[in-house]
Amino acid sequence: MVKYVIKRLLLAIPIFIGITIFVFVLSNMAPGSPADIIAASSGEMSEEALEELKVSMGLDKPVVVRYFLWLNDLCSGDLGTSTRTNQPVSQMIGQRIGPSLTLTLTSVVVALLISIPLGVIAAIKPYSFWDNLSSAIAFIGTSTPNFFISLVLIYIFSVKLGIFPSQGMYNSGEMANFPSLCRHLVLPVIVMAIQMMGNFIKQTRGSVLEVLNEEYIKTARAKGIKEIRVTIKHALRNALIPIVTSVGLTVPFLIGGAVITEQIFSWPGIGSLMIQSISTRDYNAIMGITVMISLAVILVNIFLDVLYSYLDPRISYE
Amino acid sequence: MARNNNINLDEVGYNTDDKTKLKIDKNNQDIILDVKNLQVDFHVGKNKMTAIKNVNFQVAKGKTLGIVGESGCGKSVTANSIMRLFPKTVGEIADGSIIYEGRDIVKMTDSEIREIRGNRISMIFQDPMTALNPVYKIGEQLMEILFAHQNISKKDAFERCVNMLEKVGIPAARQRMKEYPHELSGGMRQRVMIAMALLTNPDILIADEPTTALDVTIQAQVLELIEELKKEYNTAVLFITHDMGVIADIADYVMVMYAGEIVEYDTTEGLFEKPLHPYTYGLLKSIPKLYEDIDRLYTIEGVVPALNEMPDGCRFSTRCEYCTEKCKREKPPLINLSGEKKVACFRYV
Amino acid sequence: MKQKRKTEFFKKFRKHKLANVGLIIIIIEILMVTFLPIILGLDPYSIDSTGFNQAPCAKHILGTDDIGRDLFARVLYGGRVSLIVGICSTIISIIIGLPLGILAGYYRGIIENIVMRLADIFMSIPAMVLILVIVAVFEPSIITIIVVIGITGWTGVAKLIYGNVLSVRNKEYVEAARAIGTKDREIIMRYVLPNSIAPLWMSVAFRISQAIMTESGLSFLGAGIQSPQASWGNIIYAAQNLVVLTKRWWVWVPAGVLLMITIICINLVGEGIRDALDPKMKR
Repeated sequence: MVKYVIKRLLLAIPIFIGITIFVFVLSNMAPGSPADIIAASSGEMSEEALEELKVSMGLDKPVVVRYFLWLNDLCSGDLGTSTRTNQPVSQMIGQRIGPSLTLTLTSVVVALLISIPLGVIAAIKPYSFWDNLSSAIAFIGTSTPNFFISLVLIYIFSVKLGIFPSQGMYNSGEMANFPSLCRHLVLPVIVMAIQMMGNFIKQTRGSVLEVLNEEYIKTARAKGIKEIRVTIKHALRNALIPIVTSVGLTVPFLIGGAVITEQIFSWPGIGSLMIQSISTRDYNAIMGITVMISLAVILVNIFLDVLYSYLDPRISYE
Repeated sequence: MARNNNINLDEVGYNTDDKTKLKIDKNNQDIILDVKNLQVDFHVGKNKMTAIKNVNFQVAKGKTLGIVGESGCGKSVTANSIMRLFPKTVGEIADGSIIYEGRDIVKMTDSEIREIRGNRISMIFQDPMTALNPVYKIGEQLMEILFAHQNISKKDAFERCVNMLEKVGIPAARQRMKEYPHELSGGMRQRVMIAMALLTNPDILIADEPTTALDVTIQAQVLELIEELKKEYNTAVLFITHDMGVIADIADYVMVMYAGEIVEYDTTEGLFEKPLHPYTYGLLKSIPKLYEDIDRLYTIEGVVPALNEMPDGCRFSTRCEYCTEKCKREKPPLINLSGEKKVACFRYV
Repeated sequence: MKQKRKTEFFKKFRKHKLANVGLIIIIIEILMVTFLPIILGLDPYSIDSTGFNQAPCAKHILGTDDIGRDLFARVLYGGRVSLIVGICSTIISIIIGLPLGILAGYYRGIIENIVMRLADIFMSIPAMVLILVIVAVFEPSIITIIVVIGITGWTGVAKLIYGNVLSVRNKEYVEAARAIGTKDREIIMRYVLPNSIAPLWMSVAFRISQAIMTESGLSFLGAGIQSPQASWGNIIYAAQNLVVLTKRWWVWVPAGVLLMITIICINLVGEGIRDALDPKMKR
């Protein structure tokens, strides 16, 4: 297993390098160098001062050289300095990882906790009330733009009813505390969970339905064990294998959704940092964030592969 | 089909001529399972289709009843209905009774039938490759049965399973307990299935084509194993197969089914000596023989008609070489002949 | 034969009631956004200096926005933009993804490696993030938005086609064609393509609705269609202001509801197409 993980990590290296090239080239196609942007934001700056700034930022060197310098820094954890805040980008990202993970992981867990039981019930009783309900939820979930749901939820629950806050992780000036965090999490988590639930419900229903036709389910029934045990221990356990795949495929969408959701709810995560960096053309930050997000996607996929082999003993990575 | 479940055989119109003969088995043997007038309907869309009808048979302790017929003849439906193994959405027992130890399985509640399943009546399935759950270890799947039916410690359960695996001829049984199904060969897996079925020392073992998916050499071993264990535990065996050769090896009695109905019943010797129904000797003729020099193997022309295309009269009439006008019009009753022989064909009325 | 398959498809599609309702609504919507502005003489850019932030009235049935533009006109024009972006970017995805998928699946070898690794790279960067980066580099306009969404969508098309071509290329009829010396080009056009394209048709509607969703999300973030051009997303953008959100529902609710209806209807049509092409996949 360790061997397999190492192999997967090694295979990921070319993809990661591809991503860095792609992101670097893209950022360098932007009109106006970072120095120009600093110059523009600081108002008046002489030609000479600008040249000096460019040299100090290494912008006088050829693109290829600059790429390797950047890559070298990247590998040692240095993502450069933000032209917006003058902070190291790695530090900015570091501060934002916690809130982003809290939001996304909570959303995934909530989505799974609702989708899996609904999908299983829908599979056991096809075309029943629960099946229709869950496919309606799935359909609406996948068909509604998340920012519109967010606005509607904010309008109802924050503005009209005043139950849940719509901004940030804590009330302003408040110390970090768990109850407040939970209240702040409710609306953004609902938005993100609804988006994912569509896929999860469909996937669960489909794979449980398929597994229920397997011979070993009949064997399990013939053993005289309770139907609920047959469903959960024998059917769902096998159906989890394709469900994990579908969770893996959702990760990029999840992150995309998080960008919008964090922005609307002023959630202090990577997504809102991304938007801020883009609106101020903070290229070091944009590059750093993009590379880090891609790295996260790659690592999550490797993790899911490992989970896969744990769920399905037939897969051997030796 | 809301008829009285305890229907008397006389009312159905069969065997009216000789009631005593039906009880022959009861005179000298312990009847453990008595299936009367069984009818199973399948739901196809909004329609109901009758899969098996008027199925009557008995199984005695320590004896093997073979059920034989082509695929689609209702053999497996018969077997599954004894354990009530199909979900209500697929099909239901529309009529008849299945008496086990004086109680009617048809009328049992779900929890009552669960107590019997895997405990008093157990089953071996056709394809050992798919009948074991791929994500659990062999031991886990075996012990599950003991935990479901007995108050037993994990350690004792483990030991019992190891013993049983050894009994069915699995080497290094202790080691096998910790392996996954995909690590075992097909023959080994079928042995595991047999061990699983016999773990609780059941009264009745239903074997649904247990050798069909196996290599010929493994087939013989598995048959021998079932035979041995049957003798040792005095289990009643219901053996389902499409293979007349296997029937000759293992069964004491044979029931030939065609299109959901019984067409002939006899002791194995009687059947092979004197097959009466045209379908039966069609089946017998299609067994390949070692020393016979023939160009082509005999086959019965045509296929079993689909459930919605059943002829009004004898269901075999579409393929029978002796078919008469009467056969097409009327259904031949299952009549008792000499000894234990019963046959449903106008040629013997 | 082909004709028969087509009539069969339409027959099955017609049986899917919801899909037909969706199709009719979409057609009505397309007709409305195309012709209503011309018929009613609506202009989304002209500013009514007599009233900013007007509530719906006889003159402006959906009111005006913060600089006095007619919101009904903007919603209609926004619909044009959303539908155009959705359809055109999907076409671009297919134009890029289809040939790459076929080549990778049919020829295998080096080209397969290159295409699939390229797809891995693209798929590791979440589409939304990638689009945001690209939009940050190139000025956002309708054309860039269409191209960018189209480009980021190629991987899905390519992987889908690739998988199907892989299974088709070893079928007997392809081997037979190869054995009698048919040219690769002809094999691809006559055997491989027709037999591996069905799943793409099944997914087209969903791709369009996905693209519309992405466009409106981008515009909502201020990184998509830029004012003065209208898009449902940038109309709803105004609702990020709490006053607009709470006091002027007519600014954001109509655009949002229309967006939702559009996506739902396109998805319904998609389900209809999928069921008609493959009854096994029902639901």
